[in-house]
Amino acid sequence: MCEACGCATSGAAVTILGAAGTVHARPGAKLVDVGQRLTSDNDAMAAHVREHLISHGVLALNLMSSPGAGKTSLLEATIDALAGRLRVAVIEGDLETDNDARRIRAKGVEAIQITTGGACHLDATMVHDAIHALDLASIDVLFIENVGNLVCPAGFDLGQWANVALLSVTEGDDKPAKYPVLFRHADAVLLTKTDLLGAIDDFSPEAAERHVRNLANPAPVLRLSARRPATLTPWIDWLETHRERLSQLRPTPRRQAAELATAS
Amino acid sequence: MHEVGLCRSLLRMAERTAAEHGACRIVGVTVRVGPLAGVDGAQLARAFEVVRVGTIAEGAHFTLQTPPLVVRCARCGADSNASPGDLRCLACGSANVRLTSGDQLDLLQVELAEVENEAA
Repeated sequence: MCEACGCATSGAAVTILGAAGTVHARPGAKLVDVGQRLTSDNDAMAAHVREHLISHGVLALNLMSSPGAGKTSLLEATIDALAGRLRVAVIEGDLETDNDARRIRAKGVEAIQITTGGACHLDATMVHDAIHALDLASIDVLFIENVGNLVCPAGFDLGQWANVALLSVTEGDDKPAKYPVLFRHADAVLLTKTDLLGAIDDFSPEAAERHVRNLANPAPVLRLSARRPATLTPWIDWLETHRERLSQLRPTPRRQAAELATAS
Repeated sequence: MHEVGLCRSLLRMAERTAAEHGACRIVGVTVRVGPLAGVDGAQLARAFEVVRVGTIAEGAHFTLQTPPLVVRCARCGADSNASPGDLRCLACGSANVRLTSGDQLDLLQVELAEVENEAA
């Protein structure tokens, strides 16, 4: 029993081994090798979600950033830019409230709100349950707006096609160096609120990009402002490119038929 | 913050292993957490103390292995211990590197109390 407070947890039962320590079984015990990632249950669910989304031709993007970097504003502007070109749906992850989902619905786009009730990130099971509420046949792009947080979301695969990290110019340009786990795996980095750059003298887009490169990440670093629709063009092009790649990957009925014909 | 959730999945994996081996008690777990795992090993250990209460792992010892961060440079071939926020090769400065160690987040081993198979 813990001597400090009398709880049932016995403290100090921790050994830190360093790089290559060995554990020896205690008398009467045996060691069994497991060698699995702690996230393997989530990873298995994410693989299932990914396969499901790809087979329906849905481009799923996991949007991650700190709170207030402009994820919802970007989505509103992106929905306007894609109108008539690609059909969009949104999964909104927030600790509390459905304010963001209501903003998206006001654009005439379907939005599923996941309220995590304190959990600091979305996981693959939450996304799995949410996509069951969507008609995937009527969607081209599914944006998954993760909980605003640069730490926890990075560790959990949701079954997305690609990760998109947002960094607003009102934050530090060294955020990629401070949160390498998240920015290392970003497939696109969006520097947002660039309309404010004139009023901010301590954010360098070049430095932000350099910090991303120093993480051995070759992802495009795009500068945009949700308030300046013309600046969205490279982002929209990026979306179209990935949508094209996904449709090439997805076996079309015709290609399946051709494969069947050659196999027989 | 997400260390508690990860500990629950750690516990599930350990309990599954115990069930596969017909063991009724888990006396230890060994976890490997690299500097780029996005998880704090000490916090994981603390969370485990809470999560294990009332389970077959109650009182189980937590062993933390902390592997180094190593990148291999595609330009000069050197292995170096880069830092998490700057993965460039320490030998030539190239960012064309591949992480060979550092993002581990694994349950390596579970230590189970032996049961008398003959008695079954």
